[in-house]
Amino acid sequence: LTVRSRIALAMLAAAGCDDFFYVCPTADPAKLAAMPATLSETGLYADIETGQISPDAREYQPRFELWSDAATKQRWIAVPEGARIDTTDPDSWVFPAGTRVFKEFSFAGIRVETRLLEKLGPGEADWGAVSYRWRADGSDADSVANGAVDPAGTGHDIPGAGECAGCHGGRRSFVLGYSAIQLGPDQLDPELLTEVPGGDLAIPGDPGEVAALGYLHANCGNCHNQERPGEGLAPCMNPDNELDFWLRVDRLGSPEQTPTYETAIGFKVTPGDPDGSRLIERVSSRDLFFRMPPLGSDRVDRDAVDMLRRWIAGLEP
Amino acid sequence: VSRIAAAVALIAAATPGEARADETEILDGRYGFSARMRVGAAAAPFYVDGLPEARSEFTQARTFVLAAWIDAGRYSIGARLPAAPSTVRQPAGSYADEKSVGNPELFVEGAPWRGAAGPAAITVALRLGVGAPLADHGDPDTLIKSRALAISDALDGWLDRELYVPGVLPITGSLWITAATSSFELGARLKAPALIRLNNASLPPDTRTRPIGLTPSALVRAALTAIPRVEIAAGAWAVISAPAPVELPDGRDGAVQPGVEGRITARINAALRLFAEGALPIGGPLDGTATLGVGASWRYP
Repeated sequence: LTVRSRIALAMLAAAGCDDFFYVCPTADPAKLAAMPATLSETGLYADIETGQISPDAREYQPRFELWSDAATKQRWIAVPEGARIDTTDPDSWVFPAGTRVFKEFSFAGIRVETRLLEKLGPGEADWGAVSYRWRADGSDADSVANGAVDPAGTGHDIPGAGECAGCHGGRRSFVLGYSAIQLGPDQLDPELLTEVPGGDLAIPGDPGEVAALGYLHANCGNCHNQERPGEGLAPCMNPDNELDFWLRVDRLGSPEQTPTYETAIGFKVTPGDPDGSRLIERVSSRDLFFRMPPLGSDRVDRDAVDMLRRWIAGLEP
Repeated sequence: VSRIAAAVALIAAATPGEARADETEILDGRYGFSARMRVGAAAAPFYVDGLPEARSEFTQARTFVLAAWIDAGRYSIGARLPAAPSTVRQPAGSYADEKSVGNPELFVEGAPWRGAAGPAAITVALRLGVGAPLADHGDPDTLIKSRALAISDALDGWLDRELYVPGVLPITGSLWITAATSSFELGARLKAPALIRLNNASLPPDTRTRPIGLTPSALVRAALTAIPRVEIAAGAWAVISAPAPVELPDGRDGAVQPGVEGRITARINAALRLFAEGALPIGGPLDGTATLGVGASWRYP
């Protein structure tokens, strides 16, 4: 903790402020009980010993990745046979009960964890989430509802099950990386969708603008968006401000039409002045109280900071 | 604002002889009540593989201890009720609010010897406390209540481990020796809690709990009435936790925790005292913990 953080947090504590947006509910024990205890029971692997993925699990790659301290990540989705993802709202798909979404984290070839989001029922709030910690011998991975601090010596921490809602709870779809915006036209799978979204889904702008808009969507938009579910409930990672970095299918005509430009420019982003932009200050920090994103990362994404600085420097003041 | 008001009301209702400093005062045919709240940053060792530490920053890590006692002839009897609300840091960086309670304790205290040495009044007091094994360790799937207890334990510098270790029957003997003049008091306390294991407190099966954990401590404190109605005190302590109630993940069998403390007490009237205090474990397993606190004590008549 820096002195600055300690002073700020001490003042908060002294004032009795515990509606602190870093506070998230703990995981629902009933949902945890409904999820498999080991990764081999989830159906992701046809043979976990050999690493053979089940044919029911389809690998995908979002166009814009969440920064996870330089982790190597693989993702799969498994939708129950015959079921389809409801794409009526192109920005907030509804996944059928039984959907399982996996993300595996590796560092320097060491598998650390595989996260599972599972739709346990038909309702919007029926998502369960937990991570599986890989055993040292790689024979299987075990559910760790508490999370784990640096379990493999790579510096990577496994989130507690309740923490998953910190990011995923910011959108009604709960799934963040499997969407029209993130898949783009090349990965949309008609077999899994009720209707394939139209249009080319191209992110507007020059390459620098596309990179910035995509990065902010993937890394900031899950919390900073104006369509958060469950408003008025837990303060969990709810910034409660007017910023919106979430890209939307019907607002891709130009950069200026995107929520990022509408809400951040002139507010947290000072055109032409990266050093004067609050956004740069926050994403450059891993200070406890000032860091952005506020969870899931201990290392600044230096390449992204440079990219965002170039983008802001190129904006017309 | 409501929390501040509640805290003020609690303090206003509270009583004398703050537990550690003024324990011998309860022997003078009075009854009383005290309350103490501490907030701070806490970093405490935890017992579970993958969760080697229970942490809370200044985000609402608190511990409350209420103590009450009555005079019963040659002895006093009393109780301490610990509460452990805390905002527990999670591995990925979010926090979880949790409210837990520790082991309530009943105690009997007496002063078998009082005398004088020159201008100083000497008092020797003994206390025997037995805790009820009711510390709320909560759900094994999250261990958050257990971590809230560990955080409150750290905020108290491990000086009252009998109040916070779950799954044990605590039996605590302590000895106070004080030498007091009209404006200066020097005290020393030796305390020896034995934590008798009753269950594993929902810890994972591979956690190595001890049948008996011992956490003896020594505390010395000097208090000076600097100006009328205001007392300044400073002290130092060391706790030996060996054998530790639970073996730490790194295999250590025990640990030593030193620390220092300070306190300013305002005597509002003959019955009511208000105090502010701070404690700082130095090195040891609790390194990184810092505590601020306020409290009040009231006694009658």
